[in-house]
Amino acid sequence: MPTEQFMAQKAALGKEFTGKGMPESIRWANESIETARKKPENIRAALKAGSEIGNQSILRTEELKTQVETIGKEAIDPETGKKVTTRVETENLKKANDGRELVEIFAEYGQLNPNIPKDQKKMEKLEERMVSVLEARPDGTQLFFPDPKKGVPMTDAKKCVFARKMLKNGGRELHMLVNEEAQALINDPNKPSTASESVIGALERYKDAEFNRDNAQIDLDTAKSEHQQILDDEQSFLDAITPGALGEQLKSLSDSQPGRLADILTSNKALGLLNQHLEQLNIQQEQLVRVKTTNNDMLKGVRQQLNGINRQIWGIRQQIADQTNQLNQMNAEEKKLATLQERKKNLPQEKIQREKAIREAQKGKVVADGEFTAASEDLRIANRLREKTETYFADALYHLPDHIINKYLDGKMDEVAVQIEEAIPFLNEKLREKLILGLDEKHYYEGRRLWKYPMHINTKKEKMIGSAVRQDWRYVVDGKVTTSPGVVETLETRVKNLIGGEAEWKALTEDQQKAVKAVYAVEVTNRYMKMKQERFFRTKVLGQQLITEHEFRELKKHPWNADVMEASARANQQFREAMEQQLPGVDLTTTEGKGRMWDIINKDNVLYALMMAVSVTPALLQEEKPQQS
Amino acid sequence: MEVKLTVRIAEAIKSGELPGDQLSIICRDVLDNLDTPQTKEDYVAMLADLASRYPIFSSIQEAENKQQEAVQNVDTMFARNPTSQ
Repeated sequence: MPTEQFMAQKAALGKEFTGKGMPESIRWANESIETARKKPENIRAALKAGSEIGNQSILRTEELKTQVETIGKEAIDPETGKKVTTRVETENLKKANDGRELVEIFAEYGQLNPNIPKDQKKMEKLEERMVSVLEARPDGTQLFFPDPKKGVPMTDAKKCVFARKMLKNGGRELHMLVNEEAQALINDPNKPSTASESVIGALERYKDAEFNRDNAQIDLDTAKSEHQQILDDEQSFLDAITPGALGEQLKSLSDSQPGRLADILTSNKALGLLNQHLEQLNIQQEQLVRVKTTNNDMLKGVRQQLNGINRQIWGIRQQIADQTNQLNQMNAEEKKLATLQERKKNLPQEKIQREKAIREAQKGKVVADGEFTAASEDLRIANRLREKTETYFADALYHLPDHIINKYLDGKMDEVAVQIEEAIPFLNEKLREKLILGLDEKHYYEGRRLWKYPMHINTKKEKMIGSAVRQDWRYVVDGKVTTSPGVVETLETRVKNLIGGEAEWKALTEDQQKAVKAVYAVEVTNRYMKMKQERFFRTKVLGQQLITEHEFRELKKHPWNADVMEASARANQQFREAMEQQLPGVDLTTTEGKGRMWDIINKDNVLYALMMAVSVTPALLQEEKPQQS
Repeated sequence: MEVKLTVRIAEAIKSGELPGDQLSIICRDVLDNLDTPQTKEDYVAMLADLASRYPIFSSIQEAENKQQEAVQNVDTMFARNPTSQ
């Protein structure tokens, strides 16, 4: 019958399954999964326990496999399919349960700390559990915990006290007791078990019974399932073969090749395994979806955190900017305050300086007023001199060498200088220096006295302060000067004194003496004209603004330098242009031309002033009437 | 990681995928390798090594690789556009 074949196959599968069952490893697996779920921190201990399950466990597993097969056959009722449990087994099982529970209580109790309140509560509960276990088995109580003094069962209170003592001693007494009982059991296996079975023996039997029970239950379930499958297959088979020819063929196939149908069913089983595998794949896919969802959530969280960090950074930057602005403002305020304090500190000094400046300004105002008055005076004097010009003019011309007059009229100041240079070859350098330095020394001190005062003062003290230059001019014009009453000094004497004395003079050749006189005459004439030129220049030219105040001041400070020559040349040029406009086509170098120029000059103040600026005719500038020759 | 490995071993033991006589060997092997890695990359390398010797760890390795890949994608995205958050 197919049923018998299926049963045989089932038995083979059952053996195979049973052979795979390794109690130690299976138990380890269950405990490890539980540990991973409840106490993942202890998972390494689980791994270590797994690593310690060695060959002995495998051997024991083989042994247990044999026992399972035996017990499974004996424990399964072939009629009812239920496990057969004897009274002794029930009793042993109960003891084993009690013993296991006590051992668990000891184990848990030993891990608690009595100094921790939370642990203390747990310890009290464990003590209560232990007492309840002992009370549930009054006969076993004496076995487990006999009263060491009376040898009779203890009261509940004593049980509790004893239990506490046992627990606190870590179960040492219990283990000793158990070992003794176990040794007794080993020595006499036929000893009645009700009084002498040890806890270990009970536990071992419990473990075996539990394992046998589980395996028997698995076998029973498998047998039931397969039996039902066989019945279903048979029914399906019978249903299939009844209606038609295909059924007949299958029936024939079943009868002729019974193993073929079994193969088909085995394939169906494989299909079921595939379905299970597919379900596992679906579970894994769901797990992957959960992982993906978790990752997305993590990513979202990370983004939110980054947004928050960015906002914080922005806020910090804003704070830094605000604080920087505040700091800059504070620095500016501090700097401003320091400046004000410095200003405040210097205020008295500034006040003194300001008052000093005011006083100087007031002085300057007085001076300016004086200069204004002097200018007015100069103008008045100039006007008066102008009135005298016609009278003095002819006499002045008489006293001035023609070649010098012509040079000045032509503005050829450079030629005057050349003339001096031409005379130099007749002088030795030392001699010339003496002559010029002698003039410079005297004219400097007298001239400084002359130039450092305002013009009105010069005017008032003219005879005194202009005496040095004018005295030399007298040597040139008159050929002699009365230096003191009754003492007359000639031009030659004057020149001799300048160059050193009579001996030096006689040492010169005649040409050199003439050259010394010429240089002296030109130099003195030039200086005298400059002196007078400045005075009239200031009065007339500046009054007409033909030159600037600055130029005038420069002329005043440096009467002998090139600026004077330049300003004079410029004025001379203006004078010449004015004359050329007034006298077109007239040769101004001729005597007639000069005469016509003077006609115009005498009628035009501006041209007159220009002429004074050019210093054309020093004789015109003399206030005193020139001596008649 | 050790929890995942242990649970996987236990599941394999229960399902018969892993023979019981290899339990001690594989547990010892896993224990020997657990403390070696110092970085995430070391963990991945260790997992690859275990998976090459024990196929039961392949599923863990694949899940870990996918998670690592997802993390790398996030890092790459941040690296390309760090201020887009």
